[in-house]
Amino acid sequence: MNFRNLLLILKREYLQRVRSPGFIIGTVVGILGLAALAFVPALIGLLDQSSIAKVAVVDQNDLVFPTLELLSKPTPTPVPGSTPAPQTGLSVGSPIRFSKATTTDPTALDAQVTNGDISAYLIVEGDKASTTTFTYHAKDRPGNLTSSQLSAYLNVALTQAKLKEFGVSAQQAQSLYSPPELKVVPVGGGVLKDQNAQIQSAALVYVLLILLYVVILMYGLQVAMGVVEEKSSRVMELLITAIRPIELMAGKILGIGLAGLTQAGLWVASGLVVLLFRNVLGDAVGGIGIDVASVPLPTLLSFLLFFILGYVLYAAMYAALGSLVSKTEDVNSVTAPLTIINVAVYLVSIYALSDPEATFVKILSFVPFFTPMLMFIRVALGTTAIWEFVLGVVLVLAMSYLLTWFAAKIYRVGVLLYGKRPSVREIVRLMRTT
Amino acid sequence: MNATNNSGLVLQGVRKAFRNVVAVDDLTFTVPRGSMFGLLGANGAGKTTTLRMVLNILSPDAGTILWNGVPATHVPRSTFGYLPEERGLYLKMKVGEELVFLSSLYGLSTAEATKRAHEWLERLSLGDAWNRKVEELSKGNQQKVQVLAAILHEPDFMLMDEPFSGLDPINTEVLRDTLIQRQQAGHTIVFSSHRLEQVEELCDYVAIIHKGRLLTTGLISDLKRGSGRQMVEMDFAAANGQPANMDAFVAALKPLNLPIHERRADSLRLEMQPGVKTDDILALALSSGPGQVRRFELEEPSLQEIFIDAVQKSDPAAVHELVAEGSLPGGKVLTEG
Repeated sequence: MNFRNLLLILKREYLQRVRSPGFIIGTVVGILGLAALAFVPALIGLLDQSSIAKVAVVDQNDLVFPTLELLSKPTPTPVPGSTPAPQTGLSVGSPIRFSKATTTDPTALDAQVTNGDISAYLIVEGDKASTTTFTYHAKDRPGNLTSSQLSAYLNVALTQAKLKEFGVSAQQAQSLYSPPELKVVPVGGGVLKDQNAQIQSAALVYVLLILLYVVILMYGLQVAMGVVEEKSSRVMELLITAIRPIELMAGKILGIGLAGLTQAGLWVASGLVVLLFRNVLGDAVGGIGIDVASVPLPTLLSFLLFFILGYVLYAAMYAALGSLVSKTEDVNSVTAPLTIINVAVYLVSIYALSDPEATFVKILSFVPFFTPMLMFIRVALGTTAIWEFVLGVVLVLAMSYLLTWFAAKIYRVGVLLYGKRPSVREIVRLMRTT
Repeated sequence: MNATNNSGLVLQGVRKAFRNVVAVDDLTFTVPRGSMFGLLGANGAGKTTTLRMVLNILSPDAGTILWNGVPATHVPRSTFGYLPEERGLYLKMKVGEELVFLSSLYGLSTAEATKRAHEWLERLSLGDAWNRKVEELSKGNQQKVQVLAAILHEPDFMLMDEPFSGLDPINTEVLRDTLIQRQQAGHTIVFSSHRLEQVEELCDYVAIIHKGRLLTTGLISDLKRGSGRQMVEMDFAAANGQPANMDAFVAALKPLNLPIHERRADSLRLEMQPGVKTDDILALALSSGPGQVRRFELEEPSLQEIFIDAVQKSDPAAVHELVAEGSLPGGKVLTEG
């Protein structure tokens, strides 16, 4: 193996790819997509403002209205000295806003609904909280979300009113709502995992997993395409006159892989920047929030490791399969077996995200084609012994070596095959004679 | 292993079969160092397979291939320059970048490759093509780039598969001069062709192969002299404004039983036979009066005649096939009965 030749091929493959419009567009679109993932929920929230249900309340005795008004304010700030807003468990961006009805005349209120000034109106009847009844007047039956929110609001407001009626002091009422103090003690010592952080890292692992999957598939296919392109443009004959097929294959795999790593790196980096930016803006933007600092280093390192291992494993196979055909349109059919394996790996990975400790996930995580993704999930989310991790990596390395050696043999005979795709028997026979 | 020497390329009993088809069989010939060597044969004769085996793209089933005494598989790759029959370049790359890349694969430094690529592009009037994509060039210019990819690293030994096909007359001239220049600089050149007049003009040596087997090889001048054959070539001018009356002349020649190799409106090429005197032919030409005799010459056979003769001796049926399928452009074999 001549490393100068390998580097020359690598350099060409890398530069040709990162300079191509496709690569630049793909990278930018990916970054925009990531930014959208972080900011779109906030944007949707903003748009939702227009769809807030405005409900006018007719409550002559002011039994529940003050509480309702307080609850449905966009950001309920406790007024000093007054009763702090009881916790309702409702989200901050409430889709219901209560206001005092401008009139008590049902006909006038009906007109307001028809005009669209208000979405609906609520009539509170009775002079005591214990005997109050509510009537909701609207054009349409309220949707699931609205009606559950409505009853939650009314529930809280009515309880508040009843407590008052029963002569419970504001302080006593407050203590009713204070959450129970629950102390969690880890069994057998140690530190408890932060549930929140775990959900966050599961989300992150999911994003990284998709990235792993997409990049391996995309760039693996590019390796196959690259080989076929050299065959169909007949530049192959020139190349293998000058250098050995193994140098050509290795340089191509590494060059394209480096381009993939560049793209994934740009995506990850811009993802982190977006997250940081989001965290600075705070909750105002809503959406998925991940504390960047909480991303464990082992997760990122194992991502990088399995990214490289997984890519090499698959790319060698893609190169070998690509060398068997001579037209670009045949690439998909010849690489179909790898696509099927890939889909299987993806489905198992999605399952593993929710149950990384399942026995079959553990077993499959030692099967080389599955290892990169499953072992990554297990390292990031489960409890993986060092020996398991090392064994998985060693197996993938061994398999990569074997497959690359095998792929190089196929490649060696495949690169000069033109015309009909050879059968398995022909390939074996050719490999023996060359 | 043999010791290094100056013997050039030596093929000894080389054989290569694909599945059940024998592409090359028991091929033995020598390309002397520093020669311009023509590898002749019709389509499918085994020329490309032979070149590929020399370059170690294919490995022979049997036989040895030595370059200056060293097995071709062990010769440094930069020794060879190759122009494949199926032209192949990265179409999306820029001309300059592509030439630098390809010649650096043969060991040239980037700086040296850049310098030479600029010089050569200039010489082949492609000086403005450096930053253009290969696919934007005309076919002829792409071919020039392909030739440069084969010679930029100044290989000792160039193998060119049909280098002249697809070139217009001007570029043919440019390539011809380039090849002659390389040879004068001491490099060895083998090229395959079925353009026999080009081979005859350029090459010192030839090997003629047919259906994978060697028919004959050697210095072209030796082959011509050694054939023992002689041709009579005659040109006529129109007499009294009348076109040459070739029919009458051919009819008058019939008793002499001379094979006619080429017949045009104003010229005739015959093969001499034992017992026939040139004076007899000249007398007939004057008496049967096809026109005023402008040229009457006794010459050695052309390379094409040697080629056809060689094929005919080993495989009589093939000659007509070759002519019919157009593998022998200009090969009009008119054997008068």
